[in-house]
Amino acid sequence: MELFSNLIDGFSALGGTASIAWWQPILVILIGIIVGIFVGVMPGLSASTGLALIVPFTFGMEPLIAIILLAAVYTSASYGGTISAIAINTPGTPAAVAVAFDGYTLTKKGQPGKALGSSLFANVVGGLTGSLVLIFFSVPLAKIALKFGPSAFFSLAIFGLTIVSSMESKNRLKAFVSTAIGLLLMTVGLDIINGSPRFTFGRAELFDGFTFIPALIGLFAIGEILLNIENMQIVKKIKQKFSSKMPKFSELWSLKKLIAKSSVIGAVVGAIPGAGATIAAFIAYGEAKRTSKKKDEFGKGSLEGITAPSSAAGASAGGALIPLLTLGIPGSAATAVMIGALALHNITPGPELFKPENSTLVYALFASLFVGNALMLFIGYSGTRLWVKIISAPKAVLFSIIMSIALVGSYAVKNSMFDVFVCLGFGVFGWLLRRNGFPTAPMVLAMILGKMAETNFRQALLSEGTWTVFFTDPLSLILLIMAFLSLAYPLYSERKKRKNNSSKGI
Amino acid sequence: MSKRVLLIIILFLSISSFGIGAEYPNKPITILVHTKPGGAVDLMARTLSRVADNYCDQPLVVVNKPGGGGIIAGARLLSSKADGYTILAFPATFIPTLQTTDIGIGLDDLKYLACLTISPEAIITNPNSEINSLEKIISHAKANPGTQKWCGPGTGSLDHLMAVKFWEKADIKVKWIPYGGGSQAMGAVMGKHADVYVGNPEDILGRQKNLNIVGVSTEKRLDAFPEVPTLIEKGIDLPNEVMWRGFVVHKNTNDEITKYLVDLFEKCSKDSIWQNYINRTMVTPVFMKNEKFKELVYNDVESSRKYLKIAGFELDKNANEAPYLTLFLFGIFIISFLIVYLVFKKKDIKINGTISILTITGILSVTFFYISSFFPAPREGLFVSSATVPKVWSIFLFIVSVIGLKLYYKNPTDETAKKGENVKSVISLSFLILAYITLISIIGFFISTGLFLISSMLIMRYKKYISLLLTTTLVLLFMYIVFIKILMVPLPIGSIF
Repeated sequence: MELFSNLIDGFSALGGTASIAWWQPILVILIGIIVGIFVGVMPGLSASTGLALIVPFTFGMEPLIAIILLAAVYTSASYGGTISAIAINTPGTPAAVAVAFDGYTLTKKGQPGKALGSSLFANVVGGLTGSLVLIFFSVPLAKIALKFGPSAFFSLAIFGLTIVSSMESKNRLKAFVSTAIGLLLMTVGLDIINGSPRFTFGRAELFDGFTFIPALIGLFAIGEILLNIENMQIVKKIKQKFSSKMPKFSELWSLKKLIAKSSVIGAVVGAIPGAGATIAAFIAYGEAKRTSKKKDEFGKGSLEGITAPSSAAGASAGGALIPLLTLGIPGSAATAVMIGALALHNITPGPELFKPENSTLVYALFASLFVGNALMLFIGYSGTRLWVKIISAPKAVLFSIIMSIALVGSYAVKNSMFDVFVCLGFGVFGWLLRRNGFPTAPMVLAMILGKMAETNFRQALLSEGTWTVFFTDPLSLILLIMAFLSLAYPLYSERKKRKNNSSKGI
Repeated sequence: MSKRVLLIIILFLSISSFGIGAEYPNKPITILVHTKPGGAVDLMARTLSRVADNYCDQPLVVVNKPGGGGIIAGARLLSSKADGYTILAFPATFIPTLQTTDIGIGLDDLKYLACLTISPEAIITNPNSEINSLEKIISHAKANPGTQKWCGPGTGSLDHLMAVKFWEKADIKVKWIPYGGGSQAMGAVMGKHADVYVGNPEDILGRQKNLNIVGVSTEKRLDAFPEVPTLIEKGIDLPNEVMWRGFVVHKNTNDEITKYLVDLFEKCSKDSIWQNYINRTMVTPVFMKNEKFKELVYNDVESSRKYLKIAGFELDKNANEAPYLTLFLFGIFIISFLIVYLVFKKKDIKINGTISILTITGILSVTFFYISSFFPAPREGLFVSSATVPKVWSIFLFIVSVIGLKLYYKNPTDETAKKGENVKSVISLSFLILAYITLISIIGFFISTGLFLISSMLIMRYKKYISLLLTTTLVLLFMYIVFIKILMVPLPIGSIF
């Protein structure tokens, strides 16, 4: 088959060509992974910042070397985001929020090694699956991606929001309150449809709304630290023992079906431009919980709850490359930077890449994704000890450092001091909510999806001029039905369970 | 004070001021960019910064200040010293922004250095759809007035204005669907969710299968697309609509510095790396300096005002603000808490955190509803406005808050709360962070971070003083090396240091 011979060409290109020494590609991938993990770990720095920072260094490189360096940074940043989510409850990327639920809980129980290890494994499997999907199914998936118009995007956002219902079963109402706050706060800023300011009180900093990353850092990192301090009698004495023991392979092997399913979800949802990794991770988490036999363990450090979103996030990186490479449409902020960077190397993303004269480049990129994921397994494995060591530091030291880095990170997103105040404000707000039992993750999800829902809702109404469009567009109708089921199913199954229990006389 | 000391001071001052005057760039020059990293303007600035390394002793550092369509970056330029160390990348997208927002940045506040690239506006369609040529666009729009879907980034954007101009010249009536960005709008045309996209010729690169240019706004056909007609050829009188990208500084910058920068840009524009960038991104290189650039900008302003009005913007008119907002908030606050207090008193339940939060979210929802009822009414023919969605969400928040209060009233137990004893430490820490943030903009990042780390550890009663100081030093060193030396991420600057 041509595809396979192309892939073999790609792999051999990684081993060096006439103009590239054999060690260069591997070294570049290694550097890319380390940079990617670093920007992912740091709250406030993201894959897109990492890429933009590294682009000027690629000017003098061979196009092949440049493209695999960028791809390595891009794919490993999502793993970096899960590390800080698990270790210190500070999701480095929005997708990692879903990993923090169970990952950080397991860390608090003293088993960060287990949490980090299973997330790493899931991420790598997800990354490999995403690459496979990218290679074999990019054409049909790109066709589906194009079918998503405003009405379908709106319904997808609504579907994403309904996952809140299955996420929090203990205090569902408080979760809904938190969701509604997030939705309402996201309406602050210039209205994209007619350009008029809303709830900005004349402040130019608010014209684009609250910047998401500082709000996320505040709600999670700062809020978590404040909550911890409140619950500590004498902080200096708290020095928890953390185990860097990795999960057993048999434990992970028993999750193979879940990881495979979540990876596919990640790759497919990641391929829809604009939806991306975050929705994929949340859908995978909700789906894992719905189908799990141990539902009660979710939120208490369940390995299923860690691996499902991790593998979805890992796979969505490959998925997001599908619209980029086949249509030339970036599906996320990071892939948008990739397009610009590739253009500078005279590589125009799009179907032309697959023409014979360019194919070595593309297949070398694919090959580098496989090599990169394999290398990430080793780097991540050896890094785990380091992370565990870091979080074993005395809490007073650890918290102070996290806070200062969180504030720098908030500044770095837009180089704005206002955002640092936003981070503090959301931090205190998050602490007040959490100490009273209001979960903050639904608020984050609402902040991600709120704008997408509103913009597409109004775009759909503008272009079609009728309310029925959400039901006549088949994709939108399917998603709305799924949204209804995901909202109602948890309520229904709980009611049934309660009835069964009462009939048994418990 | 002895004369000798005075003499030394005078000598020192004169040397230092002489030094500044003689060799203008004696520290890095900042290029402000109003988009996030990766945009077209950002790429231009970063390429320029790299090329300038060959011609200038000091680096040109790109700093992204996104927000408000350029307002934030513009305000930053005007608030910094007019010493030539802050330059603003100034693309044509600024023109509508400055017209539609009343934020105190005027075109006369700027000094125009040079315009380096232009790209013509282009009308783009999907070759696989029925509407795939200028003739078809016009005949379809005339046959079905008000149904054809045009799209591009935002409302009141440069591309939107181009569309409005086209509609006026072609005398057609169609719809404008704004998208978050160019690539999303292109995706919509590729997926046939919209009919026409307004952008630049380079937008179709690599997307020729799904996008084709049907007309460009130039006098002559483009070399790169000889088969694409100009708009004039087809009788639409728009010969010169371009997206230009240039650089400006504060208006008080002295002429010597301006000249240095213009010369620097001129050298850069002849560099081979720059030429390479031009070829790859398919923009047209130009070099319009000072007055010529200014003329280009001012001409654009003239026409943009006219077409923004046609597009429905009410220029020179303040937005409707909700009247008596403070009074309203105050009143609703007292009334709500009074009601909640009286209701819960019946069952002898004290007002606690959960009740307060639910009451406050209730108040929040009512306030948002109140403010949004003063938003501009829906435009003609639309049944949703900017107020619709905020109103829906605030009703949702109100309902869940009230249900929450009711449930708590029925069953006042709170298993999910995680309260602790140490509220005092939390409050003092929050104020410490506030003080830290405030201090950063006065005494600079590193000193205040050091102070913050020390006092935060002390608040958490960490008493190993040596390791405390060691940690602080190490963290500062780490931040300096990683952020400043390796990643070159700009850190906040204080007014003193």
